[in-house]
Amino acid sequence: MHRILVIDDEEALIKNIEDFLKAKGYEVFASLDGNSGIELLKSQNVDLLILDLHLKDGPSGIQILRVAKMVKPDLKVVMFTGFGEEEEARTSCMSLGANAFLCKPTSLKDLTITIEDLLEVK
Amino acid sequence: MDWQLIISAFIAGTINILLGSFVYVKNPKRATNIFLALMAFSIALWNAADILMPFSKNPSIALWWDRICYIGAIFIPVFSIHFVISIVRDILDKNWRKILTITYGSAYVLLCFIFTPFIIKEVWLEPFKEVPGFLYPLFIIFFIGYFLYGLYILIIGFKKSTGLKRTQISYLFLAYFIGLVATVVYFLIILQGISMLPLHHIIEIGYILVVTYAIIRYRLMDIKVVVSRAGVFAIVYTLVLGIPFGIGSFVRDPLYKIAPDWWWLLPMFLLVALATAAPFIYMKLQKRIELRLRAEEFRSHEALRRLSHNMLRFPNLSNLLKLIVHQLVKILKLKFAVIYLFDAKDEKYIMKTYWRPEQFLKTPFEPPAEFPKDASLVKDFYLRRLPIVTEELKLFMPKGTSIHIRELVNSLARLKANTVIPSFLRNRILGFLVLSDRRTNAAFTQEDLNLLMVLSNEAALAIENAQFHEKEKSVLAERSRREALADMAPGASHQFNNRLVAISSSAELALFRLENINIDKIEQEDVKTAIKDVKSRLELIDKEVYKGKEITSAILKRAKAKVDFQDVDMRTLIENAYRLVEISYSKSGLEKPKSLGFNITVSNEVPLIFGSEALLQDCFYNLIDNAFDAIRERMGDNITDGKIEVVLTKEGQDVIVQVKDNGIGLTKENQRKLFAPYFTTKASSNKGSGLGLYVIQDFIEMHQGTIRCDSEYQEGTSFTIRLPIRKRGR
Repeated sequence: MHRILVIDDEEALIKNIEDFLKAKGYEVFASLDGNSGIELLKSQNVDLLILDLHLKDGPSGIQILRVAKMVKPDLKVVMFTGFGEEEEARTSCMSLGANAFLCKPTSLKDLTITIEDLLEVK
Repeated sequence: MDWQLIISAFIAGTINILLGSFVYVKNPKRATNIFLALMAFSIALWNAADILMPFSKNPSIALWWDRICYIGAIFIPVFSIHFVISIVRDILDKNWRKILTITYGSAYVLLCFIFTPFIIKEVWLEPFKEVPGFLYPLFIIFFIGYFLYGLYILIIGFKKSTGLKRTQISYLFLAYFIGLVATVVYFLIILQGISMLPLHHIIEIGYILVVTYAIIRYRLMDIKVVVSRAGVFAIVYTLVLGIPFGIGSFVRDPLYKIAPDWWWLLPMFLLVALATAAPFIYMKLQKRIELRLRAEEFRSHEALRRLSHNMLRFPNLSNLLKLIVHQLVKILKLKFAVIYLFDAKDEKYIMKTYWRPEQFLKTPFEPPAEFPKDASLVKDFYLRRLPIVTEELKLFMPKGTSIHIRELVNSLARLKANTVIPSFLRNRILGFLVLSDRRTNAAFTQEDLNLLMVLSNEAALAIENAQFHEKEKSVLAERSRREALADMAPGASHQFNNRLVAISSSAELALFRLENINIDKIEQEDVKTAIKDVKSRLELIDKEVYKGKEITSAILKRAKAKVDFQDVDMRTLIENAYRLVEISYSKSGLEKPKSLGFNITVSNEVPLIFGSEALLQDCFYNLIDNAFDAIRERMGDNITDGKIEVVLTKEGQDVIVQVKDNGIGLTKENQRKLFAPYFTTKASSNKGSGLGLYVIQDFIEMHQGTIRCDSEYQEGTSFTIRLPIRKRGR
């Protein structure tokens, strides 16, 4: 069973993603801020990280991405970006090892497809 | 024979006849001109006596000529009184008819005695002498009396008159004074039998010249100036000639004794020296006197000049206009001043500023709010390019003049204007300045008007400058608004997107949950329908969220639109835009209409324009995309002959791009709302956030261009975009 960590400061979204992915059969950990997210990343051996680029407080998405890749280099990362930021974000995040970008608002279906692609499920 | 007298009489008579005819021809219907001419002819007739008599064979023929010519002498005062009355008639209410009757009556009485010895008894030829009869003093009283009466009328008239007429009367007063001197000199010659220089002829010429000048000239110089100039001139040159002659005659004898051949050198040297110095002395003296006499006037001119200079410093249009009217009212001592400016949008001259000092607020007066662009006033400005002075129109325009002038007089009366001054800017009338009468009742002199013309043209520049500033300011405001939006937009749209994500993911999750339910297993029908209903509503929420996303992305796009200007080739840009539309069609899975023609024509040499490639590409992408949709909507997917045509032309300093399609077209109602934000006709489709044309217009305006839409429902739509060709660096 794949373990997925979601870091996003949107409570409603994180809850929906968690529920949805659980229903899809993943083990899901959720965190509302970067610091506890990094803790979870260290303690739980996750396969995939869903990370929002913009977080209200604590470390930014990019910082978390950098740390996460240091903690677990083979970690797959899906980044959430706002509209119009793909271009700028893509270059910096790609160089830091992000695997996919999803522009908010994204559908859960698209998210699932991306995750399945990355984890090579099916 | 006294040739001196004959020649001077001939010259004086000729000048009188010429000036009289000239004045008459100028305006044959005006009483003033008629009686001035008659008076000049009468003077000429009197002058003729001095020529005819010496050539007479014997004294009796000479006497006969003399008496004939005296008819002229009798009518000089009569016509001069009639002339003066014609000038002051509208100022002084008096029973002029009665006065004229008495005047003409007394002339006829004198006329009865002209061929009797009572007035002229006899004439001698060698030496020439007129022997006055016993009624001659009566003639002198008649002559001088009417001259004095003329002066009296002029004094009263001067007190009651204003403006131009006042100046005119003051000139006539001067002339009558000169005339009186000539008369006195003449009667002295007759009575004393003194034979001297024919001074009276010279003075007489002066008289008629001044009178003619006062009547014919539009704008008279300030009389104080004329008198002082003439006075100073006379004094200086009398001294220049007088001093050497005086000294010459005084030192002649002692000098002659010393050097009989060279005695004249000293006075000659003096004369040359003085004659050389005279112009400088004259100018210096004149300047001093005028500085004192016209101090007030010079001050006002200086103030006007300063105003001209300072105007350009006012970048705010309404402040500038206020400054101009306030200052003019103050400097020129006006009762009010109004400024009209051309409004390019309405094609009218609109009243912009109006000001009058407090003491005049009581009299009700409201200047007209606007003038059409072809008002008689404006036409006259284009024709003559000069200020219009109401009084001049009234005084000098012949009676029964054209409709144009009557219209002009009417509109000036509506304005209560004394003078209207046009403001020209590159051969175009930008506006005009309306000035009231002056509180001093003085007229504007030519110099005033010259200065005001300079000022008004200077004002045109200042106004243009201010208008430019204002436009620039609004562009700046627009830019800062855009920048503020750009700053705010990413954050705001992120926040908004997050809400959307929450909604859409909730809907999706709910849908997912519902999908796991096997509806067929449910027995209750109402639960079944309820679930189906909830499902369709959740789908709707999902869909709507995507529309919301399109809006935020459009806002963000607009805000982030980077104005990165460069030289752009419109043809390539539009072709690329078309290709992009095609690609997006194939990507979206929609079949590209099979028989759809795209055609781009460049009608003449279209230069590169300086603009943002990204923004313009976006504009044309959207326009072409809209055209595709419109064609699809009209013809369905089975398009038979859809056509999108783009025409590129250069017109003046603009590039015109027309994007035409033969799609569904727009109804009149929709055309009106087309450029409003969030308006879309594509209500049925998922596509179209409604920001398209609003944003396009915005982008075009960022290039200082315009966009227009012409459309016929069921026929097609045509967008016309006008983009200025601008040079790099602006």
